Amino acid sequence: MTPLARNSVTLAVFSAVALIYTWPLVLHPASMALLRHFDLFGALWLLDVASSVDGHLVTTMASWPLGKELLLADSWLLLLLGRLSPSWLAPNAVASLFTMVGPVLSAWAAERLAARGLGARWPWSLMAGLAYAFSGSALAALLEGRVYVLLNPWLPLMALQILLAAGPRGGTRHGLAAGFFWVLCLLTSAYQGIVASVMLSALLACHLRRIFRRPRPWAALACLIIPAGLGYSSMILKSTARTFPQAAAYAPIQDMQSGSASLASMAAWTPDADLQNHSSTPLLGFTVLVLAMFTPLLLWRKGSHKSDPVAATALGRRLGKAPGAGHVRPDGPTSAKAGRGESAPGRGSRSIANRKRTWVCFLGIAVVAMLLSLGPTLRVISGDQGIPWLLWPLANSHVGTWFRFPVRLLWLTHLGLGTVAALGASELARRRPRLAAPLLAFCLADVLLASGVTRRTVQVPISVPSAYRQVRQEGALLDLFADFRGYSMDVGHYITDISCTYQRLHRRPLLNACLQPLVPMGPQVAVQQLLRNKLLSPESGPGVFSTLAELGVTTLVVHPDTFPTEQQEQLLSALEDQLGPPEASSRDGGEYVVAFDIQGEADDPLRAYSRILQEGWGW
Amino acid sequence: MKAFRQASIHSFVRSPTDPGSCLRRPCSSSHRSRLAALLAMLSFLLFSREGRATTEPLDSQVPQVIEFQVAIPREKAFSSITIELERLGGIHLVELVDDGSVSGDMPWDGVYLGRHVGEYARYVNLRLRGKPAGGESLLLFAGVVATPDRHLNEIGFQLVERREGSLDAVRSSFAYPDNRMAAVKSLYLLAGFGWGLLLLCYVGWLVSLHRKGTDK
Repeated sequence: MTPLARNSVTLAVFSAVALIYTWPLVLHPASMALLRHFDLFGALWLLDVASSVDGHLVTTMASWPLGKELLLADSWLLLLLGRLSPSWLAPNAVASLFTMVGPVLSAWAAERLAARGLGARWPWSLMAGLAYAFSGSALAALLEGRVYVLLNPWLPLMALQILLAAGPRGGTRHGLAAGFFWVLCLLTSAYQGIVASVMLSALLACHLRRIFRRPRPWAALACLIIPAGLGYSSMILKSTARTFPQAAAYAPIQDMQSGSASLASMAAWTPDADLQNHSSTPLLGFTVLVLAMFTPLLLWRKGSHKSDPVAATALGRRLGKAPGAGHVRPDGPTSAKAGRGESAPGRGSRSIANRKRTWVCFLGIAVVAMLLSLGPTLRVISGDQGIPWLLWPLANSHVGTWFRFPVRLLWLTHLGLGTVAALGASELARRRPRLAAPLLAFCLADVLLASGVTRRTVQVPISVPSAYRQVRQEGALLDLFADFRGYSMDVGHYITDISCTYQRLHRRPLLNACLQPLVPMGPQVAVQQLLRNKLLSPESGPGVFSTLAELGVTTLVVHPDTFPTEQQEQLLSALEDQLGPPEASSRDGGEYVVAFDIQGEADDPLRAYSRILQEGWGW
Repeated sequence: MKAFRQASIHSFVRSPTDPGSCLRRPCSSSHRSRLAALLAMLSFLLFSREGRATTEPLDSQVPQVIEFQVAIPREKAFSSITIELERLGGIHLVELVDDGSVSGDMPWDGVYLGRHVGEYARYVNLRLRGKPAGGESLLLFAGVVATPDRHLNEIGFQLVERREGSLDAVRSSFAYPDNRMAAVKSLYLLAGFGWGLLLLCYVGWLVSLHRKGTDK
């Protein structure tokens, strides 16, 4: 099979798996999303406002009248794509592209890493792609709505470039490419940047001697990652300095624990995980786990070509011009030596020694990442108390507040186990190809059946209540919800984040912060709280809405179904008494909303807001 | 089989202006440009805002079903279980039954079932009330629950008795009779570990065969 045919079949296989994985998103890519939770809505909002962001990464479309700084955006790659994408491309269509195409590209990159970097043969190298791009962590990202993480071929491509840089033909271009892909990982998300940094550090440590012998590729790598890393860190520190005191007051150990894996969550999923653990089920996949466990037994003694025909064919591929993986042309003296399994001096034997070091390194990274992903306590199931574990010291410090999801380190485990398992399967298939053939099917079964993907994805329409289209199209807009602290912060995030996506229809500045990493923040919190108190108290003064008008708010949209039944009538009648009949109301787009028009002049919104904070309503 | 596969690939990529297969030689530029134009057109139709606006909104195409399941402890007897549901501003009363009159309900298993069908709602405000036999109506749960799926949303509750004797309804992913709930929840883990054990045996056997062959 030619390389083009092989790559075509590879992409076709991954595309078919992605189609099943994300079905039926391909039928409604612009009007539907597949998710269980709420993180996608923040991503959709980010894609939508990207064009309104100024040079300081501030947008006036949220946190009115202060403006919202987007340095802590989930993904800078998303921000960049939102800015570059044409206006006719809907944000949810971009998100659907991430969901459907992202895993295909990520899987292809992992397959290339297994094939070129470790020498796994096709079709066993497909296991690496399946284990990485369709892993439990990928499914968790899909269900949570963090679709930008699904498009991550950068991590395996970075690893491949580092291996090439450490090889006998390593050059500056490999170092630059590795640095470029590291930067792309960082732009994808902060956690992917951490994952890429761990992978980079581990691979560099495994090839330390190479760094001193041939420093050029590594100097090129450092030239890219050092300034990029310093620049990114300084911007994040500058932004978080303002919010740190609030965040530090959180209970770090509780947060880090809920973002860590348990042994059971890595083994199998239960329906409760979607309800109670935010779909955090980073399933490892038993096929690749078991294969990776046995790979050292298969390959440990294969240090020289005399006992390693697989290595010999790899040598033949490097020295000869073999057309495909695993085949050696039966012509030429060099190839004949490789066919007899005899060792050859020079670059070939060094590359084979490197290959053993490489898969040992990958296996080590996978195991260490798995141990770290368990977080501050080792638990069998999520509800356990657990015993103190590796990250326990970190959890009790303020650093733990900013590293709340150790479970995301499992991306390294998926990639490491997948590539090593592909190599192990290649070795098994060398002698028993028919008996080893079911291993690919088992891997597919892990991806499509054991993960429960078809049962767990939820089809969510992306639509907007028509009332937002019928109100005045100028001034800021305030959404009024109930106080969610009483029952569920998740439901509160879900409802408030959806309201941010409505902005693509009405294009009005919102008081909502829209991107809220930890605690609810933004002018909406204070204004909503005071407005609820005023409206639901027996003596609500008439001046409450003149202050809102001074703040620049011209439309108040109430979401009555979020309030307890006994408060809804009181709330709506108080609003009608003071503002008159509603300007618009609708029961479509998935919500019942009632919109009121607020008349008045907006003299100085910033002064009005600071008065609200300092003096309250005061009259 | 090989000939059939090659013929299939040739028929897929053959262009009228390029008699050869793209797998054996570079594709002609006219073929590539036609393919690019086709992909661009498909993308525009699928993803454009204008294209989307001409179709009926997805949330109104099918009715949304919300299914409620409440598992009651065997030692408790309730004469009625009701849910007061606020959905898109309308108030509805849903009676949950355990007598098999609702499809999917197994009679007298301790799990009460009820359904409400209506237009798509992202969330509902509900109050779960239960009236014990010979007692007053109790408010077991009140709050907003997300119902994101456009087809079917299953909302399960498990009644638990607190130390002081009061009853609370706790959200659960599904409701099973009291004596089977823990077993059903464990079933998923058992199935997962069982699959792992099967793979361990199979791969272990393959490895032992391989090592025997290598040693010989």
